[in-house]
Amino acid sequence: MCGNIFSSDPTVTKEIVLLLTQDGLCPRCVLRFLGAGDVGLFRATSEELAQKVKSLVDDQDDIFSPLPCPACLGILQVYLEEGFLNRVVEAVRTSDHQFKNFICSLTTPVCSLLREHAILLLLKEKFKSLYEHREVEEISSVKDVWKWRSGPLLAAALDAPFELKSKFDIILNFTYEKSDKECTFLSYHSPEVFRKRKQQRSYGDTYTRANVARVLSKMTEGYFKRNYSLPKSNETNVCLCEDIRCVHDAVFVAGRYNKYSRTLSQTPWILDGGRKSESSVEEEICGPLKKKFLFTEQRFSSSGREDVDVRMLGKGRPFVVEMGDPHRVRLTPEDLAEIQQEINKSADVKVRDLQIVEKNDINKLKEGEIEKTKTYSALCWSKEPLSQEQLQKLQEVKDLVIYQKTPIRVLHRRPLATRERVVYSMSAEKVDDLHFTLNLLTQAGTYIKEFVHGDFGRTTPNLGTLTGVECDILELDVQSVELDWPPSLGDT
Amino acid sequence: MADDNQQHDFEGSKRLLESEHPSLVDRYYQSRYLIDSQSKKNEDICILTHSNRICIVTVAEWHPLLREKKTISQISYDVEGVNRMDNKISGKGKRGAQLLTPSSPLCEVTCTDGSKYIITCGVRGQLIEVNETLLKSPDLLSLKPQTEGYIAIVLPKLGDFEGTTKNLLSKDEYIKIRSSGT
Repeated sequence: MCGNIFSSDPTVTKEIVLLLTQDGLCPRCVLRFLGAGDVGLFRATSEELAQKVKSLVDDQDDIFSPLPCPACLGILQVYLEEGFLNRVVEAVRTSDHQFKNFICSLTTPVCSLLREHAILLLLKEKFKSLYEHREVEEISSVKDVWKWRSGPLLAAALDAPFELKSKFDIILNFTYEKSDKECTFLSYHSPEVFRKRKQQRSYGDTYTRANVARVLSKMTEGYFKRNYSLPKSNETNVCLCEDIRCVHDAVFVAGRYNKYSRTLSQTPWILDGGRKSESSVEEEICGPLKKKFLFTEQRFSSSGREDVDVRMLGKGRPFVVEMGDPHRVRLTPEDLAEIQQEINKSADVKVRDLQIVEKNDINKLKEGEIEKTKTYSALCWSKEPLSQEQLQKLQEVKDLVIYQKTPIRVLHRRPLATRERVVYSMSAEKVDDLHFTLNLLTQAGTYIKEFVHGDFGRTTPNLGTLTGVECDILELDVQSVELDWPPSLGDT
Repeated sequence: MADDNQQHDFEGSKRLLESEHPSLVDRYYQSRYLIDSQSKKNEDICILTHSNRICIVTVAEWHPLLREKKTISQISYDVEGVNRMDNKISGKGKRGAQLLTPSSPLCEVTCTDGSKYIITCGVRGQLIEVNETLLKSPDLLSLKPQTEGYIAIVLPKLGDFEGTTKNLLSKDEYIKIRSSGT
């Protein structure tokens, strides 16, 4: 009738019910502490469950207090009624998210841990043989019982299934303003656990579920009973749920980008409150994405970076955009092709192979940054003309190990270190007496500009030491980033 | 895709090829000068300042070492009781760096004719590195005083760059003073 509860003796069950209802517990909490854990049972309405509990005490009337339940602080009472559930549905509709299924996450006040503990201790005292070895984990939790009842109701109203592994989360934040005060006695018992920070970061920062649970497990029953008693029910001893937030898991989009401008930064460049470069690769890509995915936050990562004055040619550089809390998620490959076309209207940035990827795929990007080789083409100047033989000699250089101290241009924000890098091969073509094009294949992380001009001799060997002539770099292009990811979509 | 963009942007490059070539120092650094360092006549230092506030201490062309074309026999960073080679820094914040003031000695230069010169810092900040190449190749100082022959790299504290460089002379001011024969 009530599924498997701890007691198999109806007389004992009756006594337990009377004890709990005397303290003001609601029907659902009575059933929880009786040991009921049957999902089907808890799908019933409040009236049905009240009837069920009354039947355990020979249908006595008026056993239930009209006041908020001290165990669940109203979460399994008013917050399971139609009024509140309608509020939840309304909040979901207003947030205008696209989703195929949903979960609910509840945060409950920390003091509910104390309440549960107190009630369990009471039961252990009065019904020793039944409850002596019961752990609080054996009592169905308030969160579970709430979800068992409201899940199907919300699913019907939202026309979407309640799914444990859903990417769309309806977050309900239940707060109780007296929660911290109730917990203060814990800090006398274990002051080292509850160090007060100079600035409280947010409400409920000192007493968290984790540290309260830890202290309770170490506290003796005697100490707990002497220093804590279940607060009396009254109308104000109820939770508030002022905050209902809907969030969809991030969606990840990857592709490869080309940069044809020598004045565009990769990410927004803002210094001292003013923009240093109008727009950026990131914004050119994320703008059109945002119009379709309607996300609130973006995080742009790429397999390495090029300077503002360096172009990214060839097949482009792999990148991933993490779109936080997207409000639209049902996008097809055709939609992505449209977004790609929109991005490609820009003269400075072009994108290819735009596709949705998994969160773990970001690791592939970083792999590329550290392991893969890159090819470059640099327009160089030499102080004196270089002969054909000198240029030819550069072609013969293979797997040259160079040592680069942190370039002076980034030394203000990077640690001083010497990096060993390899220039795998080079070739040079004369442009005129004092200019030539240098093509290089190098290890990832090589500073090309410093290899050409030597950076005050802090990169050695460098082009100057190899040719015996002072050299400088006028223009640099990245020709390719050798990473086979994301998979090519056959874009031209 | 846009294949024409793959070649060098021809118009832009043509302009680059035809114009005069400004050196690395001209493009990224401002040359600032300190004359008669430590009240020693003509011992000028040239500080190359980058837009990221890093200062490179170098010996100016007017300094007797360069003007009198002296041959350098040795350079030592162990000077006036402090060894600049002991400088060990770590992390982005350059923890552990020796703190320098404009009069801090950086190195002592000994010449074949017996003369010795102490090069001082000229600015306030953390010592990032000294040019260890000068230990093995002291002639670099005479050959390439403004590039490979630099003395040291100093990083002024964030917010102190303006203060510590405002007393240095700009290139124009310096040229005026030195060409009027003083």
